[in-house]
Amino acid sequence: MTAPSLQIITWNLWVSAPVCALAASAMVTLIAGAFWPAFARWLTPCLALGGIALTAAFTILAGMLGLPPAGMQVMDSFTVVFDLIILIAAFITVLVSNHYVTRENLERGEYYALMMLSASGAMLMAASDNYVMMFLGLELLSIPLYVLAGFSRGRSESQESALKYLLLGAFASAFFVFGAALVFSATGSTNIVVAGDATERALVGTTPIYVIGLAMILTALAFKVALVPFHMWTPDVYQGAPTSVTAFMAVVAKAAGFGALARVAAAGPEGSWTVLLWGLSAATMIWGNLLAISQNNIKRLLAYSSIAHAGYLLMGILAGGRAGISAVLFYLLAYAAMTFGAFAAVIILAGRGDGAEDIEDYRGIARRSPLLGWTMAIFMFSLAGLPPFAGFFGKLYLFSAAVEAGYPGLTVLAVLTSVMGVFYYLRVTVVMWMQEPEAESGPAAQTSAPLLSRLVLSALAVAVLALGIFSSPVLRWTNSGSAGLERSAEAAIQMTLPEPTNAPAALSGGSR
Amino acid sequence: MDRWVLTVITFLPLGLLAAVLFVPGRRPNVIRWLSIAGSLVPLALSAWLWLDYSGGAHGLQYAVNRPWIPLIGVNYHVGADGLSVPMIFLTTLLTTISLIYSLNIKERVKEFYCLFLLLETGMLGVFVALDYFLFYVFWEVSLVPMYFLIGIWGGPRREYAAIKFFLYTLVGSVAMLLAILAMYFATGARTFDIIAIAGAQPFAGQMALQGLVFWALFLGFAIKVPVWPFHTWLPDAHVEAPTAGSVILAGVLLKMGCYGFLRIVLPTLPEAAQQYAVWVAVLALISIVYGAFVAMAQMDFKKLIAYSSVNHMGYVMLGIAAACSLGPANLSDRATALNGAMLQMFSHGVITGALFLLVGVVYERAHTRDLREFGGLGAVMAKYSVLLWMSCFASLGLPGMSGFVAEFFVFRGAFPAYLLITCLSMIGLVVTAAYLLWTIQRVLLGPVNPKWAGLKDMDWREIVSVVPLIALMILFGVYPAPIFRILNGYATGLASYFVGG
Repeated sequence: MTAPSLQIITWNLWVSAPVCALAASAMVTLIAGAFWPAFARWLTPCLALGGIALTAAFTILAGMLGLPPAGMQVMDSFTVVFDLIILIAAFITVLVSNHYVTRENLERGEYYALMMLSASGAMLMAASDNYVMMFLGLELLSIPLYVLAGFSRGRSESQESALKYLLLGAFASAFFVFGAALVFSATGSTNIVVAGDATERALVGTTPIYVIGLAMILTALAFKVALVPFHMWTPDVYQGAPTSVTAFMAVVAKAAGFGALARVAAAGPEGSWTVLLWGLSAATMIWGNLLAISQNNIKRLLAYSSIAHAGYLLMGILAGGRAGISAVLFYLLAYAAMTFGAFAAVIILAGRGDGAEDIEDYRGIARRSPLLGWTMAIFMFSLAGLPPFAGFFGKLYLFSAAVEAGYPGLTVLAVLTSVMGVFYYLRVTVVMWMQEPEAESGPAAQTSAPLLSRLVLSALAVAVLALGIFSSPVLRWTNSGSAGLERSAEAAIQMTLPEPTNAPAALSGGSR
Repeated sequence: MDRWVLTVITFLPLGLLAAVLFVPGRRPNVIRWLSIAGSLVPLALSAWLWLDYSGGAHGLQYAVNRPWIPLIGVNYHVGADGLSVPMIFLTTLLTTISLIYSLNIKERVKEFYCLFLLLETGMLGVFVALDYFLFYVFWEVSLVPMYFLIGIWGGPRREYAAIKFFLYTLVGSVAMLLAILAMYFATGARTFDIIAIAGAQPFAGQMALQGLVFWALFLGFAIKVPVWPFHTWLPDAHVEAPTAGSVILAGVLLKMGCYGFLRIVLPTLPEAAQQYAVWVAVLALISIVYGAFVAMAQMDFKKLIAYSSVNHMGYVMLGIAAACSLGPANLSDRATALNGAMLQMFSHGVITGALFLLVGVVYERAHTRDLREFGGLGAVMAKYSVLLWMSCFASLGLPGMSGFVAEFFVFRGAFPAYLLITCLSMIGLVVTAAYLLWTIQRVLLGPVNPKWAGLKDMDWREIVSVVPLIALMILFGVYPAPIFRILNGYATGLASYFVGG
């Protein structure tokens, strides 16, 4: 066996244009914030929005070119769909952040720049078909997030949150690297598809080393998306981090993890891998929903609910195939809309200094502010999975993909746990709608918000409704994304096929 | 043009809701009268539907079938037949009546009327949908506004009652969702169409799987009906709900459960329905007898009426079970039982609606529903007394009122199927008569309690709400032909459906 070697290949630069565009925009934002601090208040968010829009244009353009896999990064329709979901999420984050950052005196140029860098890491993760590149994306996603979690320097909870996230996150990253190294040593390739295919075609056999390596990679990604039992950090970090960062974490970091999982999962060996995902999904749904019931803090409640949603999403990964991955993409979009909506409402309701984050503080809000009452009810019902909101349609696509792929038991479990979930989402609506408001003073009275926040809130509520009722075109779009994933997996294998007699060393998926 | 009438009826309340949203909250009267006037349009259209409906070969009319989510085979498929036309009329009628009666709602008027209009769209959607997906969406849409109606405008234990109502129904509906997915994949045709799936008979011969799906659907619908032992949410929800909420809850929402049996379970799973019919009949018997006895024990007027619903819905379930169990030789008995069950659905909606309104009338004046405290109201409130007498008589099945016709048909149809169960359920009839007469005695007769001597009689708002319902009770009691003309097509169609099974 010749010594495995990493090949550095030149690829079409268009493949990485979107990620580079976003990273470059982040730099511009950073510099602008540093040089003109007087204008930072409106300049940096505007630059951020512009950069995100520019990146979206690059993504669409690069997608239209129909580029072949480049060995490290792929620009298939999955990447395009996924990148756009990330960019939409980042765009909303900037809009949602604006009010919060101003109120909490966090307006520094770095804020938006870090967020954009983190988003570019998320894009890189989902676009990479190589473990090395994926690790790069993982770090680019995580490191800015560690900083952002501790961005409220004055609050010790924020510090605690950042430290916890950093320590555990670094641990998870180590798992990823070690896992990737094991996979490479077992198969001679760091390319996800090629390594998986090599074991499948028994070029090297499904060795325990490969399985262990893959399990370690799974562990790292499970940590990122907060699957039980790798979820312990979630409630503390979500509660302590600035609320706008929490929203970003809950959506973008989770989406990035699932984007990577979608690429990795297809490479997993049959049997033990399926059992592993099945168990993780079941445990996550049960435990996340169970613990959410007893939460009194709204951010902790949303943290546990985001854990539960990760369990549902994993069902789609487990089901795989065109329907499963398409359902995951659709659900990510729906989940982004409703989660951002809920956090946007929390930001408005919290008033200054995160004063009112207990559910009890929301008593009678619906009477004082009908907008908050109606929109929060929509987000809660959607998160609970009730029609006609996006959450229901997303769940239905996930469940039907799982049934079709042969997991009726897991589907029954998912349905039962989502009933459990309804209970705690309902509690929020009970408090907001059915209880009497407190006296005029106090945090509950603080429901005023700038026009922009109110507009974003309404737009998100409309989006949650529209994604449900008019889900057909969106579903067709996400379906094209999952089809792209299949196609580029085939293409990557095709590239290795002409010389099947080659030693594993040559399987590193280069363009030849 | 006719084809879109159902869509118009269903979504008109939603459009009205959008209009109401733009009326400022400080103009409650505009909101009230706009909603009432608007709700007359679906009512008029559904009355036209009743007159225009002609039966036909398959009975299905006004059908529209357009793709909605083609990727998984969901269609916007709506249509009306003999089963749904009376239900659509009942829904629009009771909604208008509830809106008129709710003119006395003073708090959060805008939200109240908005939620009520949303509720109307949800209920109508359930009755017109012919696609499982659409059906499920509307089924849940009707759940949410009722939850808010109970939770916001309800009595002292409203939060508990609202959550209990919601979770109970939701457990049932997710069981239904799983059954729907099972049917979808078993059919293998990538369609959610209710009629197409029934035609494909996805589980023909697979008794184990069919039984499983049957019980999942049974759970979903039985909770809604409610069949004993799934009825415990009902008294809580009714007692706490505002009067108009109770009217809709008892008048329409409970019917959605029976409707599910008749529309989905019987045609799609005929073998399982036949096999387990005796269990359904036993549960129906328990609902009838137990509901009657528990109603008798109640001291709360509203709770009494709530339990009487358990009792009366038991007759519907008995008729359905009997129709399933009869052999092919008894085709006409089957049709009779189904006709009875369907008429009982309509008749109970009208009668209970009136009774809940009348309970509301006295509660708003006396601020108590304790039957022990009343007495002699007949001398104080003459109009009230007449209307309560008539509603109670209709409820206990006095000949000449619609309740009698319905119950007679159910018993006539059930007799050849289950001799013993039918005879035992007669106990329910006797007890029902007893508790209703006793209620009349405690409320209207006897010496006037001086505490209530000054109560005002019913005003025009209350009379306008109740009188149309009383008129329907008498009309279909004396001359049921107009409703049987519509029901019979579906009943005979469904009855012959079973012949092979």
